[in-house]
Amino acid sequence: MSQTAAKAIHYRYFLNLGPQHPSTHGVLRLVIGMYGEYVLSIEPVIGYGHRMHEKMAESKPWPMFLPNTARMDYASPLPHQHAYVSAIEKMTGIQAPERAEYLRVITSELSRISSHLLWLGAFLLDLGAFTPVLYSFDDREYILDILENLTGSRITHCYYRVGGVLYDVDGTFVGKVREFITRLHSRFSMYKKLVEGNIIFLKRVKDIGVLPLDMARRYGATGPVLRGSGIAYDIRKAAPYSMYPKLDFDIPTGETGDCLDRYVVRIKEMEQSLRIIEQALDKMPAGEVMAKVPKKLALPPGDISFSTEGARGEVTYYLVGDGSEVPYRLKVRSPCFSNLSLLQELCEGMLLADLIATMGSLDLVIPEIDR
Amino acid sequence: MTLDMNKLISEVKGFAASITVDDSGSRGFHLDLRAEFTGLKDCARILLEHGFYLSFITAVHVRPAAEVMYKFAHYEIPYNIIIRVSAGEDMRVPSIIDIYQGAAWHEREMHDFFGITFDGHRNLKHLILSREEKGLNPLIKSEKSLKSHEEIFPPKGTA
Repeated sequence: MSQTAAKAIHYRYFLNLGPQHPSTHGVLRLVIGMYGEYVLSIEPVIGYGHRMHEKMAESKPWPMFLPNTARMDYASPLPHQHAYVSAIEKMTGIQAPERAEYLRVITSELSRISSHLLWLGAFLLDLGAFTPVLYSFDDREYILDILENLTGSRITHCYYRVGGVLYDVDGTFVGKVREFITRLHSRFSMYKKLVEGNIIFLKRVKDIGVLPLDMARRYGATGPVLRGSGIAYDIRKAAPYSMYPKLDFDIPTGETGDCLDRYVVRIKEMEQSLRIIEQALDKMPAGEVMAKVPKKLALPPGDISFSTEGARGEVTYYLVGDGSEVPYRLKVRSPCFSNLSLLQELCEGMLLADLIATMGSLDLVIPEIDR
Repeated sequence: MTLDMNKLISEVKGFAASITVDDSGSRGFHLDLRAEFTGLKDCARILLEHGFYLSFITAVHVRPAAEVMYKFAHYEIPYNIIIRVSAGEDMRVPSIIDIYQGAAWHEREMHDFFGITFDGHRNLKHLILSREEKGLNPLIKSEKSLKSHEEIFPPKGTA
């Protein structure tokens, strides 16, 4: 055996990343088989934040599960809640008033923007750029304030109800949202200047972590992760719900499916979300925000599945009723679960630093995976 | 892109015990398939060939045996498919990880929550629960709360 070959054995080792590592965003642990600086294998270890939400759902009447829906994807809780209340509305044949549906769209899109802003700061922080997070959190703060005034909580909003939404909005809310739209529009060019021209940023993300379509399909990737690879698949268009069919917006896609494309898609998505909110504010009619809902509402036997487009992809609530108020079974399909499971195949053979960039571009929220 | 649904249906027909088509998709599925235990993998293979992706795998514990559901959707056309397989008394179903690699985690999760064994899964160890919680299977219903298949999924026409 030559001396280099003998040495090569010593280059193989296991690296434990997390569960408390800042770049794993939440409690995700990766056991990485390494060869020098190269990644040979990755085994994600999850479950640290597991709370068994699905068991909680089948042990109490359905209205009591509403707060839980905000505690899975804490970065954009409202699309989760949207899927849950819509599944129950569909099952029991309740129709929310139009004004409430518009309010759901507006708040869901605000939630999406706030999630993308959080991701923007955290992703660039992973890549070693400290400044952008200060700016993006500044913008995100506006959304948190708007939603706090409306829903009463900053992060875990519990705003939607079966048959409508909890509170109506007034002129102050509309004014604040419009103010925010103007503000964020003016900030995009600043973000572009701050980030996209940076040669270090481009070297870290261009042609890194390319996700081919067939891999996306085999793992069930959705959301911006998929759209970065050039597929315009968005539940808001594919299976339109709420007021989305009445609103005009585009689905941004990337070309190659690398980290840069996923970045670009999310930035463009924020612009589209602003477009949606603007239209929704204009079109929102006056009127009630709650339909008449019986005090006790039993879920009929049978199953139903309802999907919404979360900030990270397809959120599906699969609900099984048994004729009582307590769901017989509730399955929550979280997009990150599938998006993370492809990490091993996507990152094999890349440098450790690229793994960090790729993982950041997947925009993982771990409590949503653990549930 | 258009997808020839009749072709798809005729292909999976041989492997399915029953097929329900609902073009409106009002319950979230356009095609509701009850697959034979032995035909599950063939159904999955046909769906992958037609470009479907795996949305999720889940299970519902009913009498006499737990029911495993596979939900598929398509990136280009709005079409959702659910495949139902009964896990049988010994709680076993074939694994589809050699067709859909994304199934690996879903199957491990079902193994944690229900104790279902997926034959052919190469790495069926704990995903969400810890080693110490072996055999806990939190989503298995107690004798008191367990209901029969007919109660939960009433035959067509009565639901």
